[in-house]
Amino acid sequence: MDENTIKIVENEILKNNIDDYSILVYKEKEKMVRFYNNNVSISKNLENSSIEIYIGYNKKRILGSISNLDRAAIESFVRNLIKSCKLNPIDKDYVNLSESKLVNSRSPDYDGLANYSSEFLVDLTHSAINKAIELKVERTAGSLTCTETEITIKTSAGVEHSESSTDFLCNIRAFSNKNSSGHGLSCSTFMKDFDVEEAATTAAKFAIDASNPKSGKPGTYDLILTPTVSADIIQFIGEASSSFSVDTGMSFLENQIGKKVSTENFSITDCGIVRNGLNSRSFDDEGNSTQNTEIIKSGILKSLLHNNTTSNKHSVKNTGNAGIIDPTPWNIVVDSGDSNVDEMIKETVNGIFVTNNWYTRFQNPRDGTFSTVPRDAAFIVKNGRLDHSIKDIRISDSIIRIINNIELISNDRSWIKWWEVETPIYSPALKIKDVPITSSSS
Amino acid sequence: MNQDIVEYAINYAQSNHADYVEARLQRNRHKIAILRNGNPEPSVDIDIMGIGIRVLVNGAYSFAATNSLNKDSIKILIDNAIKTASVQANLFPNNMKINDTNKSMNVKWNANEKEKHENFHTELFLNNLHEINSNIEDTINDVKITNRLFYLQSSIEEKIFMNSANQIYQSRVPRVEFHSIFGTKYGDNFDTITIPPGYAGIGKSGGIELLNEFDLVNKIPTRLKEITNSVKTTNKLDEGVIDVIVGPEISGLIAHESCGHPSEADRILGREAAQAGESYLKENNIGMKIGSQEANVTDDSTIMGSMGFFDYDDEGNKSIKTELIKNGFINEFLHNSETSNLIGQNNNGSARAVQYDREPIIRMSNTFIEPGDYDFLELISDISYGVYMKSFMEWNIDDTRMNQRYVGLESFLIEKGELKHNLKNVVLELTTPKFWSSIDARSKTLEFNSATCGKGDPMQGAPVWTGGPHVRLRNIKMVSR
Repeated sequence: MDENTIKIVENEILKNNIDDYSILVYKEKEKMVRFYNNNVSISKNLENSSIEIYIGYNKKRILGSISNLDRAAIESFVRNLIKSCKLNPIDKDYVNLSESKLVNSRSPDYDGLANYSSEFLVDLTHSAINKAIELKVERTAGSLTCTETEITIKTSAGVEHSESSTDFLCNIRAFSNKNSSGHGLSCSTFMKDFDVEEAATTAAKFAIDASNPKSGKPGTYDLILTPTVSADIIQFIGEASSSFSVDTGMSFLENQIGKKVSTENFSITDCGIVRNGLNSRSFDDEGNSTQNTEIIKSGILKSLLHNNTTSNKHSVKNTGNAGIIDPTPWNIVVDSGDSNVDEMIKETVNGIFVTNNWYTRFQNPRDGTFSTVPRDAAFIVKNGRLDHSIKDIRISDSIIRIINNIELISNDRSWIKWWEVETPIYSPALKIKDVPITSSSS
Repeated sequence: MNQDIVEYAINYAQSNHADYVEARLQRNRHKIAILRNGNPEPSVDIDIMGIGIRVLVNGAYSFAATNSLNKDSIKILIDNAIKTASVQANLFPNNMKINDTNKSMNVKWNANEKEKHENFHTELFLNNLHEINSNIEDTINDVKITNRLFYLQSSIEEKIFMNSANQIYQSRVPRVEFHSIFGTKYGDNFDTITIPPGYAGIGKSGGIELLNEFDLVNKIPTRLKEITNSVKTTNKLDEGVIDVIVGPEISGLIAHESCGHPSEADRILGREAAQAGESYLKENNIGMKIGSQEANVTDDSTIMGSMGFFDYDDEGNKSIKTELIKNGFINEFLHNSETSNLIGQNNNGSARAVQYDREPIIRMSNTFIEPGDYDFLELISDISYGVYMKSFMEWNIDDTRMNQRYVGLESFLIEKGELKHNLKNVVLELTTPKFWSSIDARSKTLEFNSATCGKGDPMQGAPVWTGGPHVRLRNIKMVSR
């Protein structure tokens, strides 16, 4: 079907003497079960396919996407796309898709959904909820999702390839009857690594341990961040490393290549394909091979993320991160440290252990000033021990200051992707020194 | 768009023992023009169409969607949905109900549209963006404009909706929306600002004629010039308890975040707990005092020309104006069929789905603080020492919608009833009851911004308006960032 679909698009393109194009066909199957108050609210079964088309003509460019896969609809859409492209103004940054060969020897992880019916997913949901209830929480809410994606590409530069991937996500929140909650995740590319009961256990334990939280007090604290919270912050470093973000004045990493941007113990790499990487691809939207790109190495900013256009404009190597308009990270891997959460707590005199957060927003993306709201369990750390649980606090800082104050990094890492973290991050726990905390007046 | 396939889905599900079924054939088309630093990015044409089907079997819901619009695909999809719902009903007996009092109907409804979106080319949008760009100088008020990103989008949302209660509608809502981002440099300081501030948009439903109405070519450069004054300031506000006036951009967002979201009955019941969060409100909080007599908030999907306009929701209910907070009291929640049955209140038709492959869930439409009867100068004249926060960039709120924060982009000191100098990064950080109970006056003017509201799993970004007048608050603890 994909070959035929691609042929229909390509024939229409070639008829119009277009010689710079890429065609991607996506087929996605997604099964989801959502639950709340220990009960399933709805199951979902989504089967979608679409074609994404990039056309360059006489230094003019256009992108199109269509989900109606009837021959006549596709042909008409491509004809209109070409007509529109010819009317577009010249793009002074225009560059042809580069001649390239796929060099990735690996493919994304794939564990087809055929064996995992929606009924199986409902059963898994039942076991996750029961596990949390066994641990004496009052109620749970969350979702289990299995996705299978097949992507086929053909470009004018000679790239032709197809690959499939899967991901399995469990996001669960548990609530005690004592005004507290906890959060757990399981993110995997194989069902055998998908441990919904472990996610439920994490959520339930945090909920119980955080019972009867007191309102937190504003001040400056050392923060211990679970991998979930670290990932939320690190995803914005990934966003800021896109050359598009830099070109639009939205990045705190502008003019920092080769300079120190964090503590020496901090290194992050964007990986096109990595084991359990939930957004793994061997090629980008322009048909270039994806790769491992060191963004920050031992505290030094090594590279931004590029596509054909931005790499040509800035005379640097293409990193295979197209997005034709906006280069984006695939999977961000944070180098492990040699610490662990217990040690971080032990070495903290006046701190807060933050287990989850949401709603990170920037006052000034150019200098990285932001705030974010902890949610679920949070604990005051006093003289090396968890003292009591707290609520109603806000982290108010800048990303640049935070990554220049990383004291400890855990050896253990977890893959994080959920409602608040779109880019998959292989993330450790972090200890950050002297972070401003605020709270609301009432 | 072919109604036959929708009818087929309804008939097939009914004949296979679905207690309720609804099917929505939905097409969303977008044309987007982007100008970055004076150079065009590739224009974007998107055409997404498919069918979303929701069945209720033995009290359990299942939703299925596909863009493969043939009877065989839809048959398999419905078979699977009914089977899954039956398994759910056995393992999780929760006896969901659909309101079966709705009357049968067959209607067509549209947003007003003079110049059809199909008849224009993105070139028109790009020319408009080029004009805006050429009206902006490289340096304004000694502030260098280092980066510019403009984004102008046309969209058309068309639906054929049908359910087993014999309700049918066909609809069309076209929209136009603009966003802009600027990088600035003053001395050694770099800032990113958006117009409108707070990452908001200028948007309405309607035809391409909206481009003239928006008058972006004049309004954006004028607004940018105003904001450069705030970028330059280094004046900090001393921490203290003072009077505050928030501008419509802030009051509108507060209406959305601190009243609209917590009024969504699905959050109140816990359905969104692991994603978009819950609410400080409980099922029995109708009639609870939350603010002063001046606290009045409305959600109104009937406003023709608004981003959140609709005539019938995605469960077939007629749209109405909903008074969420009335004279300081919690007055009404936003409901769909499921929550109105569970809580036992009237369904006010708030279910929307942004695309064919998304389930209908409770959404705000156009949420705003009602205007009062003051002029802006009257509001200021009664303040001896305070702050006017005109606009913001950073904001957030906790997941029960109790603790919120807004950081000013443009703020001004008020002394003895007069506006004085600009202030840098003034912070309004307070609880929801504190905000609503501190309002003592509102201006006559009501202004709206467009925004995309995020909720659901998978995520659904819904077009909405946020709106409000100038709102005066007494005795608020204010700090600087």
